[in-house]
Amino acid sequence: MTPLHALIAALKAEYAAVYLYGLLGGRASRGGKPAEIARIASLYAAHRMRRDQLIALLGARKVTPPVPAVAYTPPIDPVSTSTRTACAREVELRSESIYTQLVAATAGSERAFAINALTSVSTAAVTLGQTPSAFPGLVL
Amino acid sequence: MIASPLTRRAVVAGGLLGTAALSGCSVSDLTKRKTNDPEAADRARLAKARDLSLQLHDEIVATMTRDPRLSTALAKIRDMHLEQIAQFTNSAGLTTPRTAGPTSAPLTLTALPDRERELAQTFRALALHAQRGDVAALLASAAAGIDQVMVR
Repeated sequence: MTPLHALIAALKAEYAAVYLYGLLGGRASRGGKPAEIARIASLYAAHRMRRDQLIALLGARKVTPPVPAVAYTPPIDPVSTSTRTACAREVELRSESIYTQLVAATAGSERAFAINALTSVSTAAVTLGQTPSAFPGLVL
Repeated sequence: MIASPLTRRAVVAGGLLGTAALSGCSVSDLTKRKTNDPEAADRARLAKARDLSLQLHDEIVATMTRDPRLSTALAKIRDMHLEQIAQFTNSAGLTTPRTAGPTSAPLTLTALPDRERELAQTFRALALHAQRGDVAALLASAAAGIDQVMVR
């Protein structure tokens, strides 16, 4: 995978994550506990920040970023606190894989960004109930 | 993971690593003298990650021996290090057994998180400068793995 393809794949993943966390937040605001709403808000903000950083990295390469899709289908129907947590965990696990690929494909400041992003999403996955792994995001 | 068709240079580098392991001298010292060989430099990065993991693993085992009540809590961290040590060894094509001594000092519980954070940070630095993408991904993922087990 070229660095450009990996950056675009990461941006598309962040578009989906931002959309899905918006959806989860909307659902949680109707009956979710404050702790759940705060957690979703925090993860939403983190994905928005990485989305913006990816757009900036593409801009630095003089590449026009792709536009987001109109909507994204949640991997799990987020009808309850437990399914919303599972949905969020799935988003973070997908992000782990995307950022591991971005680490492999890039160098320098782009790789530094990917390493930090990988750390953030893998930690988030564990706070959402994922079992820790010796090598998150990698299939060995 | 790093395995690729062997070039004459890779064979020479492998021989250097084997010699270093048998003689007990530092692998990184050898590769510092051969910094124009990216393959050897990445092997040295993996060897360094392996050796640092071994050292911390041994300190954790010493801590578990000193205080068996901590065994259950520390076993997950020890097992993660064992998995990472095996993968680093395999990925670098290292055949050497352990280089850390069996008489490691036990850790204090307050020191453990700091040592783990320090190791994860070292892995991230090694990942940042790795020549090969797969080596970078392995090291960055291992750093994330340490962060995960410390969160849990």
